[in-house]
Amino acid sequence: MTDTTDTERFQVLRKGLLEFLVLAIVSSDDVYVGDILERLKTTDFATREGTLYPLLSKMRRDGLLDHEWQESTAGPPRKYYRLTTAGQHQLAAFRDYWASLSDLIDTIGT
Amino acid sequence: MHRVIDVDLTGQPRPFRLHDDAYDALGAYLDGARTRLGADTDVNEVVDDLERSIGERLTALTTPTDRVLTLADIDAVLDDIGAVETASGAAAGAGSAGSGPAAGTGPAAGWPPADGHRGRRRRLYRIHEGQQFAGVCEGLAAYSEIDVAWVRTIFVLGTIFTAGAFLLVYLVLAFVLPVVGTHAEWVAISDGAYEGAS
Repeated sequence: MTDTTDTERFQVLRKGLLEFLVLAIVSSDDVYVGDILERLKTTDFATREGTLYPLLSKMRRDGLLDHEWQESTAGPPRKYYRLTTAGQHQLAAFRDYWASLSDLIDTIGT
Repeated sequence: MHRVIDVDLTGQPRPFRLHDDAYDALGAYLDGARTRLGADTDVNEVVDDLERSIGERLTALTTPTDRVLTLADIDAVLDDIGAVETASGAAAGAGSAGSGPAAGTGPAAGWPPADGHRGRRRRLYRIHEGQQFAGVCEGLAAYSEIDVAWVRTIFVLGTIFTAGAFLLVYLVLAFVLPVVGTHAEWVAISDGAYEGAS
């Protein structure tokens, strides 16, 4: 089992989890896309605008987040994202589920 | 010898000057993004977002010295932005090299948004000047460079042969397309690019 196959195998997992990481990042503060990319950059979840914008758009459509335009010191105004109440609930539900999942993975088969 | 083309991007106060191959690469990327996002109801919003990010990077490249952007510049920026990946599936062609220019992108690939897109390529609008109903045929004729009489004929015959389905297409277009008053206006909006030797 090489690193490469692991990376590919876990890729699917990461893809599904990205949405929840974005939820968690947005929950901490009002952020714009550059902030989200920066927070993920050093993690296994490093991503790019090409992936992030469609995801944010979908999450907004799902009612999980909202955005407002804010002036930026450098250049044109930016979209700042924040969680809606539904987004906060979704994140809380995900954290609960993750804890139970993590617990299960730790204990099952041992 | 490259031609230089002016490009306006959403959210950017001034146009960028691009070599023609860089311009084609950018157009191909954005068209690819539109095609990829075709099923996404917020396709225009996402493409605007992408344009803003591209614009921010191009601004950084052309500050403080305004210079003409090359294909290498655009490729690097597009690589940084990454292929458009929808939540449901695979990636669209990221770079620019292989994807080819906009020619193959029919209207079905996603409509151009109404504002902020001057000068990149031809745009589909309704045109009031000479209109019979809503100006859809005038707009399609200008867009496709087919005589408006032919476009109308196609619509009329299409409506007859498809038992009205084409009429539905017309009505949808009348509803979704942005409007301009005259052909001259349409030309100005669609073709904001100027060409000069670099």
